[in-house]
Amino acid sequence: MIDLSEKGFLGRLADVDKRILYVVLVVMLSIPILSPLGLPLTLGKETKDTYDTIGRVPEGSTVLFLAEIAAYLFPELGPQVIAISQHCFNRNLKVVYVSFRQVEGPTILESLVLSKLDFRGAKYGEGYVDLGYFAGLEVSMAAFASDIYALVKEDYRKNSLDKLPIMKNLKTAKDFQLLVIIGVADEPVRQFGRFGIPTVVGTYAVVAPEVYPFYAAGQVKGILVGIRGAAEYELLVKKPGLAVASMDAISVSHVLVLVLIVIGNVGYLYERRRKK
Amino acid sequence: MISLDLGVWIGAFLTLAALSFLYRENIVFEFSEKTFIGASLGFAVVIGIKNIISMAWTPLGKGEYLYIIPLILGFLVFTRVSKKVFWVSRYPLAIIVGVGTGVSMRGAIGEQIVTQIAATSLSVITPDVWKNLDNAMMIIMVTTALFYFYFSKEFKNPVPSTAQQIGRYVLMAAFGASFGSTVMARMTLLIGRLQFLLLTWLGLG
Repeated sequence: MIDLSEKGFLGRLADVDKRILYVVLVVMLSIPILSPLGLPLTLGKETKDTYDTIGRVPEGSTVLFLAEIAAYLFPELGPQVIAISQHCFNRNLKVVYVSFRQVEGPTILESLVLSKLDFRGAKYGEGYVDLGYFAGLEVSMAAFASDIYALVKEDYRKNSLDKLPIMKNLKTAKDFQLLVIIGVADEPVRQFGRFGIPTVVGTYAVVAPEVYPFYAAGQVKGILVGIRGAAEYELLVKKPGLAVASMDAISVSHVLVLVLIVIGNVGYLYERRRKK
Repeated sequence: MISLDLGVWIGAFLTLAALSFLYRENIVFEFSEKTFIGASLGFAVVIGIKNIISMAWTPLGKGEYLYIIPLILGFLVFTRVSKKVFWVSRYPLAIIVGVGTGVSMRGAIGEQIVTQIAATSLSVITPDVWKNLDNAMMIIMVTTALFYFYFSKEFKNPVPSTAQQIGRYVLMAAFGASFGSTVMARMTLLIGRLQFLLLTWLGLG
């Protein structure tokens, strides 16, 4: 018989000190980090669509890559940028990186992303370029979309655009054959959607529900959602990295959250019944 | 093996200092919080100044004199700090808001309203039964969720009030999905920090 006097066992279990839960969480997450469990990872349709969309772009085409990576978003978006960029270079696509939202985007790109890529012979200025960050968010996007040279005078590394062969035939957004949006998709879809460029989005999990309407409507051809999307893409491009290494811990954390939610609700219902 | 990189040790100290908040608020946590805010602000100020120099000051120096207008308007925003002349800042802010709204509206009407309405116009008479069910549910859930936000009149008739009730459940399901995504996002951040501490700093695993 369960003792329900005062606060019973279930009531106390639902009311445990938060600090104990934090310790349990850290210990549970540390185990798969130190000793990977090798849990299977299935491929989602959205990730496959992203991969296929990039796979259909003709070799030699130019990609507009909105690398909106912030430091606090790097665990989710960093692996996405690395995996998609690697796929682009594997397919001999030229990549133009730019940022309109995240001030530190170009810095993180230069220091943490580009160093992890195999450029397959592509040289800076010919196969890829980092144009840097432009303030103004949607207004800058609109300016960039209609006339690149009116907004951009030099790249992040202080090279004049005239000296960059990759920029030679790029005047407006229409000149790109693929748009990759990393981060929030609303503003880029509003400003670049009218050009009809095939678009894929890599976004962090919090914002993913806002991107799905664009995917369902066909405005966006594929989505990578958070670190899971990044892990799936890393396996597709055969470059397992940070995201794949994190998936076991993500699975364990979700199971733990589910267990705690069940315990919390059971304890709450028993307490309510006992008080009646 | 434990890292000997000074940057890694500073990162580990700041990470542990920030996480110490979970035990209780303390001066070490406040130090890490203020350091983060200060570094972020400093970085943003430097990038902002670089933007002004490259996008306005340099072209102005090369003879494109029209750039003096946005430079002056930008400086006028700083009049907000003065109680006497803060009204001047309303003009450049009005231009910023006006241009931003105009640019957003052009894209929103096409990409977020018309296209989304067209995408919701789905056929419920196809050879695939599951597709019909999926499309019917999509139409019902979109319309009832939108109908939930009709607050101009209280409906006593069971049809519209039921539609609003269904819309409420649809929104709750959407918020639940959003919450689940948020849990994954926050866990990802924690896992990233634990990987840094355990693998990069302590060299375990």
